[in-house]
Amino acid sequence: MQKNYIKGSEAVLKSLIEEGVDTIFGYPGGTIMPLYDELFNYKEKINHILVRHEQGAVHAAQGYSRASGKVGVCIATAGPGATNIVTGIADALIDSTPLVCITAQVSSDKLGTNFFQEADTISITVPITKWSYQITSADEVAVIIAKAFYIARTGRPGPVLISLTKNAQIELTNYKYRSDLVFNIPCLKRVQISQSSIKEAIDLINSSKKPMIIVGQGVIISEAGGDVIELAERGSMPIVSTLMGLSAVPSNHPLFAGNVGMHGNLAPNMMTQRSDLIIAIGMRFSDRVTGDTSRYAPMAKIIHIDIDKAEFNKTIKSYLQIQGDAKEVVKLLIPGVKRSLDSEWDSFIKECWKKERDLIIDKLLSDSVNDTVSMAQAVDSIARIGKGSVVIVTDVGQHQMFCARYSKFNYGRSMITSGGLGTMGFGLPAAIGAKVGAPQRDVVAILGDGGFQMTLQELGTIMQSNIDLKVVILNNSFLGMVRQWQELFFEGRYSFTEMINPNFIQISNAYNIVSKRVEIREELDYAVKEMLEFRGSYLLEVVVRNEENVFPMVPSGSSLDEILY
Amino acid sequence: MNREYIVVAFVNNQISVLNRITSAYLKREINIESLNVSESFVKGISTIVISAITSADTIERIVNQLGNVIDVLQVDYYHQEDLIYKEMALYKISADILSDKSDSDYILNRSNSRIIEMGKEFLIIEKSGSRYELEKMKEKLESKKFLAGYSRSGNAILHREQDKSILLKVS
Repeated sequence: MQKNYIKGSEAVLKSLIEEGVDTIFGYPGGTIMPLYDELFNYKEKINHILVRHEQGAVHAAQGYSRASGKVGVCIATAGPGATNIVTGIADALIDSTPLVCITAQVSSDKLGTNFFQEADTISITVPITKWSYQITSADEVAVIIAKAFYIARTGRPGPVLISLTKNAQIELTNYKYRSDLVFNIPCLKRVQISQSSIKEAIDLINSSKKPMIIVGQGVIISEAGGDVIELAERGSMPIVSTLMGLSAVPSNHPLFAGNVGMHGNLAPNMMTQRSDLIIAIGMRFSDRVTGDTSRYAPMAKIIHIDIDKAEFNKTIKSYLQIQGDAKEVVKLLIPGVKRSLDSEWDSFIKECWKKERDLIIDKLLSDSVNDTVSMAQAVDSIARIGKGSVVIVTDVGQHQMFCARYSKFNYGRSMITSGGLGTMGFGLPAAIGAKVGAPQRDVVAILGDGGFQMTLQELGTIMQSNIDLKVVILNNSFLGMVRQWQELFFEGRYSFTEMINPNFIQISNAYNIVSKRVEIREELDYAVKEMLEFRGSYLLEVVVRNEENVFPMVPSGSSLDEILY
Repeated sequence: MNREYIVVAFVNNQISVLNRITSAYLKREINIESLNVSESFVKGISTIVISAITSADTIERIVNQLGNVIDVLQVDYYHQEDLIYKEMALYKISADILSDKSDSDYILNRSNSRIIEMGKEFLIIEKSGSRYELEKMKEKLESKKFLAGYSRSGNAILHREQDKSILLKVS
């Protein structure tokens, strides 16, 4: 048999190409240099985006994955390079994002000697990865990279970390990529969907009076949005969404009834407390969704559909659990479901919506007295002018909740946000990755002034790689969400939440990015239009009201019908 | 209600699997009372036995999390009574014990232990049994001031019922 000896570093790149990788996000450094040296020869085959901080690389890989559905890849050097990606790995685990993160490690004969830039990356990342492996010999490369991709994308997706020792990068190996490898991993085996459970679920649905479907990100991951709509239509059931499930179902669908959770819409939260049947698909009953778990959905039987059986009965006890891929399960449910609209339930939903519009939405959006800008108006402007077809990438905080409440989505994979971990600084680099992952789509990063400043150095990445990204900063000169909690729950003691900010326009200029500042309401729509029509990157700073609160709000630990507004 | 739960996991004999397993306890602030890792009857597959005191809900979540660990082939939790499980202990005892008739009779004939080494000043004896039995003998020897050293192993376990060993058919 012909021998094909290449360096371990080249084997890594060839394996990535075999896995269909076209883009990687990374930052070079001492120990990863052999891999970067080889990358020089592969410039045409792999698009490497040079970030400004390794945290930017991992968040960009997350954004890339969330926008494209593919596995995101980032690379970093040993020690500080590896520790700088830890936040993104934790974020990807809790938000089920498939990543392969490759970090360098000192030569295997130097392991454990406190060598220059040595950190025990495997131990550091054990609790926040789906799997990790330290490659200490070039011969392991092909199999381990294949296994890493298989694990990252199979079942409930998640991040995998590969620690690549320096010697493994340099050594020669008889490279052969094995596309026929079968990994026999018990927890990733396809589960047989229980037919009796399907039958039971259909009976429950058909005999329910006040059913509701809650979609989570699992519906996006398994591309089940269309099937969920079909199920909802056959059963005349309203669909509501978690934060992570947003855009799984178009916001203008007649059966779409809004968002659940702490800052969700009135209707879905009130519905939860009155519903007699909740069909939860690809969601995990996070505390931000449930409020006080002991008082959650007191009247409802819950059918929980999820690929990860560890989610069953974890925080909320369900009546029926169906393990399986969301799309497959929903497809099995569809033929048996037949249920006509319950007019009482329907009018309850409409009443809740009327109440929310009267009390909150219309008041905020049509406020003509005040010429200052509400965050709701800014997000609404982008939704209207972008016609619900842009990808919204957010950071974390008040603006994120306004984005969830006022954005409109016509297509899936259009809301990219850090849900479970709530990572400030996520937005800008994730938006870069999203644009690279979905180049045909318009991507708008909507950020707060706090989160923007956590990773604003990535403007350099936008400049260098010519990323056509629109960046909107909703600047209230506060860490707004923390300030809101201080106002509501800490007697207005604004402990270290006021921000003295730099001139964002000058910063943008320094990075050669066209920019504009808007301070009054009348200028908002025009500026948003100008931004969305601009070819190339653009930064729009919208100065918003300093002390605006996001309402409605279910305070932490309250029941979903104890709503502040 | 908190009580002792014994988790038995069959895992690939791989670096870092143990860290993944103990981290499921660490993150919930559960102390591990006893831990044993040894090769199972299938080469390359290890048995990990962990006992810890916690609640039914928590152990359920721990086992569900462990079930999602890539290198875990099978995992479940048990109560003591579900399993045949033994620990082994070594006792270093002052040779003075032999000068007392009743105490030496206890050690030589009634304690279900065996002498594995005998020196001028000390004898080393070995006993297997439940943790309770081992601790009880330790306390007895301690109270009489004979005990000079003590070491106890983790659990070795077998399922009492045959059909519990469906495991490892995975391979």
